[in-house]
Amino acid sequence: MSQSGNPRNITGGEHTGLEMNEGDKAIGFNGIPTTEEEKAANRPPKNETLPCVLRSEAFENYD
Amino acid sequence: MVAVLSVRVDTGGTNGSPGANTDIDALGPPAMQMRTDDTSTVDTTNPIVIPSSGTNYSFTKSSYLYCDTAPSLQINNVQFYTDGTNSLGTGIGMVVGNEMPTRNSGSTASYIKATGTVGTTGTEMTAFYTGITAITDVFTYNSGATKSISISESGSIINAIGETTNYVVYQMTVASTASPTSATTNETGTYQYDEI
Repeated sequence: MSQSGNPRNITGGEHTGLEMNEGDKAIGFNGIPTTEEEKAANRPPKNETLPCVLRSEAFENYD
Repeated sequence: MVAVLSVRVDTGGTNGSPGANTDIDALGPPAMQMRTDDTSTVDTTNPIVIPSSGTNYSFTKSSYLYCDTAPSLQINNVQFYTDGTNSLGTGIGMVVGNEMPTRNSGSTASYIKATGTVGTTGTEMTAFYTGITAITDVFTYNSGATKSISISESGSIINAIGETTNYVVYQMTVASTASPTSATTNETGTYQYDEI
């Protein structure tokens, strides 16, 4: 935040003793243009659970 | 007493009732990052995707000046301007709504929640922001040709803590001609006002 400006007396008419200032206030702005590919590349890794089937097989011997 | 003003942005909630108001001064520079979500956060998440054709947009920013320390008498004649030169990069622009929806210490009824597709593009301002029918390139405004910012407090002045200007709504535009970057050049907008 910033405040600046040169104090100046109110002119034209009765002098009130109050000072008029010109204040100012600055804002900075920007943005991030990107491509779909870059967005995907920058995406955090996602933990995925892969389907897994455990099989138990019984073998029988047939004589 | 010299007044202290902050720049704030309303986000979230619902139309007419923002969920949060953030003093963005502490976030900068830059204080206002144009992104594709409805937050005042400054980081690299949810950038604006460059379209293959046409234009994509940031989510809108419903901003205003807020009085943190009252002036001796009053603040009025609020003006906005830039350096007049767009240095954001090829294909990147910044616009401001011509109209300024009413915001004051007693009402946020004219607030419209920012909308769009998170992570890709915002919705173009005039398509959804009730009360805003036209936009202007912010770099049209310079120290010699400023935008007058309206006040809907009593007497059209700010003279007490918590009083504000009306909403000044900003949006970044990104055309297909833009190039990806980690961040655009920071630009500066300036609010100037008379204080007694």
